[in-house]
This record gives sequence, structure tokens and C-alpha cells, in this order.
Amino acid sequence: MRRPVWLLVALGLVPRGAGATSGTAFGESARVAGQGNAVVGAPGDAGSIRENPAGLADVTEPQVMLGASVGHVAIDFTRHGEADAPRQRWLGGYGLAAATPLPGPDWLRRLRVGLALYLPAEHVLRVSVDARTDQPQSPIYDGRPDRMSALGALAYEVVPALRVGAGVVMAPTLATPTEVTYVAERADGVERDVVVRLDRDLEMDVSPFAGIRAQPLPELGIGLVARAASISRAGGGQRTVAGGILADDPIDYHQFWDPSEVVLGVSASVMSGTNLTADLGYARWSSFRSGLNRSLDVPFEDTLNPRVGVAHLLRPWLTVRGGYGFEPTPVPEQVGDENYLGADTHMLALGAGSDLRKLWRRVPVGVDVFTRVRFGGSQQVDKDPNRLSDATPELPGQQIDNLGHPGFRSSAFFWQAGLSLTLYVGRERPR
Amino acid sequence: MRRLACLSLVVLASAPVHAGVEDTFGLGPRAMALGGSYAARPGDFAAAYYNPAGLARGGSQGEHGGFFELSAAHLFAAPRLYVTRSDGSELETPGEPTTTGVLVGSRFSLGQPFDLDGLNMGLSVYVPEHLFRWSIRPDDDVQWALLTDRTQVVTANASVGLRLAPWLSVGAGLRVMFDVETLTRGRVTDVASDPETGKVRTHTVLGTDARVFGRVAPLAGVLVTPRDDLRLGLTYRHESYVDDWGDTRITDVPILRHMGYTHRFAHYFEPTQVTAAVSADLAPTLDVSADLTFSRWSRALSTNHNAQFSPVWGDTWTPAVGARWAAHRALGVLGGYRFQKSPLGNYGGPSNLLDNDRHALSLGLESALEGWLTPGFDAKLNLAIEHVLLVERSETKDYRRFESDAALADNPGYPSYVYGGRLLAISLGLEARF
Repeated sequence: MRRPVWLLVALGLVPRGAGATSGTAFGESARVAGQGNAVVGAPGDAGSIRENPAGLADVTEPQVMLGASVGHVAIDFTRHGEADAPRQRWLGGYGLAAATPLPGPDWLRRLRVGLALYLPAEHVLRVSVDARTDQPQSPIYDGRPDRMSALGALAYEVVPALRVGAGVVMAPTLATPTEVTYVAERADGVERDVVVRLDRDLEMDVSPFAGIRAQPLPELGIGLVARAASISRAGGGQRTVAGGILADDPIDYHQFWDPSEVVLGVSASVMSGTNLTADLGYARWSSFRSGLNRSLDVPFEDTLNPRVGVAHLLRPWLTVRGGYGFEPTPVPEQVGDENYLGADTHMLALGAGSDLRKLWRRVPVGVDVFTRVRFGGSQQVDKDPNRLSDATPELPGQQIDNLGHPGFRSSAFFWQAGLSLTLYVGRERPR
Repeated sequence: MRRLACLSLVVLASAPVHAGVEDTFGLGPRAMALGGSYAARPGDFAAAYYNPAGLARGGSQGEHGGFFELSAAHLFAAPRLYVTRSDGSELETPGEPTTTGVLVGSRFSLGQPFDLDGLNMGLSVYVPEHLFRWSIRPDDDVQWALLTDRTQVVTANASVGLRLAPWLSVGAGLRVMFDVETLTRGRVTDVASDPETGKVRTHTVLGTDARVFGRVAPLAGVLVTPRDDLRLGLTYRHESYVDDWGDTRITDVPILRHMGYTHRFAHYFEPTQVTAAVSADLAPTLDVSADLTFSRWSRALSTNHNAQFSPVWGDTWTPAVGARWAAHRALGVLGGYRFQKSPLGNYGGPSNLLDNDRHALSLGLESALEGWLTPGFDAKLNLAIEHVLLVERSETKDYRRFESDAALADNPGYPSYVYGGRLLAISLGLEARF
């Protein structure tokens, strides 16, 4: 046996799919997505900086990656005794990543620089926080894909068998104190009698991540990456004065993009042209807070997320890929006021990649495609009236207006396909 | 049942500036050092804004094969501004923040994979310490209109340049900005009497649905290189601004039942611009350039969409010149000057937006590291310093432009004031070719 397959099995399993090209959920590059996001132990490229920045040190020449993806998510939500109330939406986005080794002396050539940017097709950013805390929402599919993200990273090849890397993802925080006053007859017309004074300050904050990748044997790679939670905040105050009415309240919104994560991954060449990868990720969902920055009645649960992937060199210029992942839901039983949606999810991915340089030497381009589905079981919830708030305490009896009462069933299905184009821009083409 | 009371307002917004960081300080230290005279200086990522055609150099300097350039620079700028009323007291303004930001730029061969020389792409992203920062005030509040916010916003340019012939390059690109929609919904949860103000004090829970949309403004350019030592550039940039709209509704309000307002602001207005430029190599070690930019400020919007006590905007012409002297194989000295006419005037009316004519003088150093520090590493270190003098200006309120004597006396700028100041900016950058 050329490779100790048992070692791979013993080290185990695989991680939860990490972030994205630059941090946006479901914005991974086609190579990463096609392999089930199980790439932490495998050599990296410009499109996998977020998965393991140490893999950036595997880049041997300047490359620019352009990517695009489209997906469709359908979330079914059905209250007991009522008709289905499905929600569906299309998702899409564009990714740009660049990576290069530095030129110059040997110590400098071991250093790699990487940048990545992801832009959703619909919204650059969307933050939706409902005043009703019982609004049904998915912590996985609602909000997380709706943000632009950017990252920068450095990686260093310490020795040929050991690479380290670190980077930061942007996670801005907004301060927006607002004062609105109605001043009668200030100007001509009631619309112009309203005076608004507001300041908006979106401060740059970052979420760090770091990784290491070892290649003790040519056929075996081991990677470990840690990512801090990615959270945005919005604060300030909203003061509105109209006649004898004064409404003056603080604002404190909390957008939980991604939990902190630690992922261990291995990559092994088990036979000629075939590479198996396995990641195991620990995601700290227990730090999740609501959009109004409040602790949950029942905290989310941390999750262990295994993933496996395979890449097979079918032709010298063609690689086919596949992957599978299992994501336990962090959402606990929703018997109280909150109505978070989520069930255990399976992910299946297929992909292919072609290095056109192997076909035509004068075309230094790589093309990768992928498709994947995410599907899961059904979430069944039966509300406990004793744990629901009384909507109108001044009336006798318990008045329940919870949007999930008396219970509900939910499920989700997500399909996605995408394409990445890698341009090897730094090499003089053969003539 | 009482009628619902709803306050509606259209508030606008945005702190218009001279085209953001690019026109205020320059896109990168080299452009800053040359006074922004850059539309006929091809060959680096900054062409993505100044003239996209410059991404593909002409003449015998045209590149062949693949290449990848990466640049990073840091910018720091501090204003010293004053607004002095006629009685000698200082008038307060919303704030004069310093500017700290990082600029990342890249230029690379886009045509190499398609066996096409002279097709290059350029990208630039400016990330300030505050990704965006703006203050909305009524136009009659005393406030700096074009100095405080414009360098406090993320900006990005993405352009492609194509060399059609050794003497002719063309280019086009996009300048990326954003639109913002904010819908705020809330309900009153508690009511009490406020003894301090005598008003009915309500406590509310507010939710929001805030969306940021991308918005792009096109730009295009032509670069003519009749001789290796002479370049002519022409650039068009279309106007743009950040449209910021939305509404707020609070329900269960005592007496009024519902309360709310609609807002609409305009941030970072950037006018349509046309720049004509020329650069020439006067000697093997000396090159010079001159740019003239027409800016259509007459279509500008104040942060309040000119809806409240509008100021007057006028078109401007901005000349800029720059020179570079290669003092040594590894060291170049750069200098530049630019005069920016203010597009803004209050002319004694109710508005109090402040802006001055500007003289911008800059100096810079450029060092090829390969020549002395890192053999084999094709890299340059750039340093630039810019001093911007704001020519003192006065504003005297004219009673004929006010509806009443009371409105005149209540105006924050009454009876008159003078204002001016200076800006000092420094930028340090590294660029490398791979």
C-alpha cells in the first residue's frame, strides 16, 4: 500500500465548510466548493486563503482568480394547522482574489501575499433586525450571504515541509447617532420642517485568522486553521422629538456573520492521481447573540462539522472533484419566544477543474466549476405555553401572539453552482 | 379618531468633495507628489482612475507577455481649519477629522491568457480607517462641505486598458460607490412623563432593514503616444453620488399613534469631469506633465439634495502640473502644483456650507529598491508630502435673501464670518512588479 490510508481515517474526518473566498457565506471558490470545502490540509491557491492562509505559501507564481456563483435557497416554514409559507430567493455573487510570491532574494521569495474580495450580486450589504424577536429566521441562510467581504493575508514557507499564514477579514462596526426634530414653520412645507442631524461612522474592524500546513511526506498534508468570529455591530441613539412627544432610545444591533472556528484537515494521495481530504471543524455557535444584541433564551450549541473530499486527475489537464459534509444544527429546541430555524444538514458537492496550460501552453488559464446541494431533515417545534411571553399582561389570562405558536415545521434546501477562472498573469508566455 | 400624525421629510445628504481621495490628495504617493497631474502618465495602477488607457503603455515601452504589479500605500492627512465670526468668536462645525487610510492597487496583464499583448487591467481600493463617515446637518448649519467626509469613504476603481496601436491606447472602467436604503420600524413599549422637558417620554424597540447596493459610474480615456517622449491624454468620468434614502415609522405612540419621517440624503457627490493632459520627456532625466480638468459642479447636490436653503454650485476648471527628475539611478525627485477653484458659494443666503479655493503644492521622492536594497526585486518606494492652502474667504448674510428679520437673526452664520485653513498630507508606498 503506497499510503497509509488508515492514518487518514484515524486522523479523521473532516471540517465544517469554512468561510468563503473572503469570508462571505457560500462564496467559496469553485475548487474549494467542488471538494466539499475539505481543503485545509491540501495545497492552497488564491481562492482558498480563508480556508487556510498557510496554503497561500503553495502559490509559486502570480495568479488572479475571478469567480461567480448562483444559488437558490428555499426555506419552508409551516405553523401547525396552517398552510405552507415557503420563502425562496436566489443568491449570487462575484469573487476576486490575487496571490503572488514576492521576488528578490530567497528569504523574500518565501513570502506570499494574498488578497480577496467577494461581492454579492443583490446587496453589497444587508442587515435586517426585526423589532419582534419572535420573527422566524435562519441563522445559516438569512443575512450571512448578504455582505461584501474582503481579506488580506500573508504566508511564509518556513521550510519546504512547513508553511504558516495569517490574515484578517474586514468586520466593520457602525455608529449612527440620529436626532430628528419637527420644527413647525421652519421652512415652507411640513416636509421641510423636519430637521435631521445624524452622524454615520463605519469603523474598520477586523477578524483575524491563522493557519499552518505541514507536508511531512509528499503524499500527506496536514493543516490546522483558527478563525475568530466575524461580527458587526451598529450602535448609537435615535432621538425623535415631535411636539410634546420625545422618543429617545439607544440602538444596539448585532450581526453575527460567522462563529469562531478551529479546523483540522488532512490531505493524502492514496493512489496515483487521487487525493483524499478530510477536515473536522469545531464551530463555536454558543456565542451567537440576537440581532438586538441580547443573549438567547436558550443558547445555540457548538457544533462539530466533518467533511471529506476527493480530487482525481482524470486527464493531465482535467481534475474531477467531489465532497460531502455534515453540519449539525446549532439551533436548540425552540419551545420559547424565539423562532430560529435550522435542522441537521448534509452537503454534497461535485466539481471539475482544467488547467488549460496542459492543453495549450500559450493559454495560462485554469477553469474550475462546481455544483452542490445542501439539504437536511425537518425541524419540528411544539411551543411550550409556559415559556411564552404574555403579549398583553394587562388583560386577564395569557395572550399569546408568538409567530411560532402553537408550533411549526421547517426545512431548507439550497442549490448552488459556480465557476472560477484563474489567470496566471506573471509568467512570460513561451514564444 | 385622531388623524395620524406623520412627519415627512426629505432630507438629503452627503458631503460632496472634490472627487474623493483621488482629487483631494491623489491616488497613491506618486500621483500626490505630481499634484494629481497624471492623466498622461501611463504605466501603473493609478491609471485605473486618472486615465484607463494609461494601463496599456504606448510607444516602444509597450509591455509584452505577462506581468503582475502590486502596490500598497499609507495615507495620513490632518486639517487645520478655522471659522471666525465677525465678533472674533470661533464658530463650531461638526468635525474636522484626520484622514488615515490604506491604498492597495494592482495592474496586471489581462491579455496574456488570450495571446494578446497590451490588454491590461488595473484595480485600486482605498480603505480609510473609517470605511465611511458622514455627518448630516441642515444646509444652514455651519459645516465644511467638501473637506471632512470625502476622504473617509471606501472607494474602488476597476479599469481595462487596450493598446490598439503603438501610438494609441484606449481604456474604460468603473468607479464603484454605494447606495443605502434604511427602513426603521419600531413600537413604543413604555410611556412616562419627562420632568426635565415636560414632554411625554416614550421608550421604543427599533428594528431595521438596512441595505447597501452597489452603484457604478463609468469612466473612459484615450492615450496618444505620437513619440516615445510625448504623451497626450483625455479622460471622461461620469458623475456619481451615494444615494441614501429610507423611512422611520414608530407605532403605538401616545396621542399621535404613529410617528415617522422619510429621509433622503446625497453623499460624496462627484461631478462629471473631463481632463485633457500632456506629458513630455524634456531630457533623459526630466519629464513634465500638465492637466486641465473641467468639473461640472453645477449639478452638485448638498447632503440635503439642495432642498433646504440651497447653496449655489458652479462649474470649475482645475489646472495641475507635475515634474519628475531622475537625480540618480535609484532616486527620483517629484514635484507638483494644483489650483482647485471652489465650486460652492452661499452668497449671503441661509446656507452655511464652507469651501475655499485651494493651492496644493506637493513634493515627493521615488527610489528604485532594486538599485541598492533588494537586488532582483523590481520594487519602488515612494514618499509624497502635500500642503494645501485654503484661501481665506468671507461670508456676509444678505437680508434680501431671508424671508424675515427673525430668520436672518436666527441664522447660525449671522452677521458674517471668515474661514480658511490648511491641510497637510503625507503618503508612503511600495510598489513591486512580479
